[in-house]
Amino acid sequence: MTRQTVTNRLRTAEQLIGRSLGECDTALIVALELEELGRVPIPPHSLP
Amino acid sequence: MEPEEPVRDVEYLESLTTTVHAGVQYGVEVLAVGEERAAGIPVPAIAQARLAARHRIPLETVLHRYLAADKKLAAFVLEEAAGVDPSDVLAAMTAQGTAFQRLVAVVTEEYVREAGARPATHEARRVERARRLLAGETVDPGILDYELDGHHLGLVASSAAARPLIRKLAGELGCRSLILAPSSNELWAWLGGAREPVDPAAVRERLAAGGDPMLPIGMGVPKSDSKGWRLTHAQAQRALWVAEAKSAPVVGYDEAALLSTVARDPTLTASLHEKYLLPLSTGPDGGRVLRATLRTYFKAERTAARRPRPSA
Repeated sequence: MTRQTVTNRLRTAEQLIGRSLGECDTALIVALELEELGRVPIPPHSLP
Repeated sequence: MEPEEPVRDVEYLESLTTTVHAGVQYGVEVLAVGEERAAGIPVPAIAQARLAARHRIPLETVLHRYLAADKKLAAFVLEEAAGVDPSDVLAAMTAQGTAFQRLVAVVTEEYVREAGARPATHEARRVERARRLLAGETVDPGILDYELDGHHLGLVASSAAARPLIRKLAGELGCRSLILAPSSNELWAWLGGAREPVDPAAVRERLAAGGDPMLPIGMGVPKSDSKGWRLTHAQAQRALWVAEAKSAPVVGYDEAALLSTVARDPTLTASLHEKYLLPLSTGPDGGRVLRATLRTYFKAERTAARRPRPSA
């Protein structure tokens, strides 16, 4: 994966959330960790 | 029953004194009015029997004290018997003997009942004492053989099998330790220092390298004195939940505090999901790749933030 690919994905995530990662990193990290720990439902169609 | 140890508990020593006074009064009353008309067995004697059981004083020792008191009282009666009708002396001595038998029976019964209600092993008694101290009770911590006034770092594991690992860790760090297993599914430990706290980074490093994801350990934040002893334990318990969920050998409270708190709040959890995860659930894979990229990105940022900066 190239650096540009990663940058593009991060920009896409920011656009979908509607905020920059710097603005919401703590809440986003917690949300992602909660999902990882099975404390929130995994979004539909996202199972491998 | 374990061998008798010196009892330091003020409550026990005071009860002993109170019982001697009450016992002598009871004996004199029995001599004066007879066993049947005297008041019942003194309450302090019953309380002291229970307390003796709790302090692991052998029953023989408790009963020997009563026997010694009975002999002393009998000797006193005989000394004072000169000039008294022998039949009155005999009646008094008989009443005293009956009262003594009843006293021994009651004390034995109370002692045995209390001993039966107590934890059976030394380890169980240590756990019970730690539980009471954690609950904020003012009880003698002596049985723990661990100084509560110093510095503490709490560790909690979900299996007693973690004991050798933590014991080895304490040995390597050269620190004091208190390790208790309330059950096969729980291990509490405190690593202590008299002058300075144990370095949590060193503990984390060693557990991360030598620990076992099958034996996850939660680690608190270094704290001091008995209040801190309780707090670092509570923190370690919170961190353990995250360590278990992540199957990580060790997780510290500093990294688990927010997560374990939010996870307990269903409203907040649902809100975070709605606000941050649902918008990412786009595309044919439901946003799986996006979320994986974000996780990797944040993990790399965290690692970089932890890395020591080169000195100028």
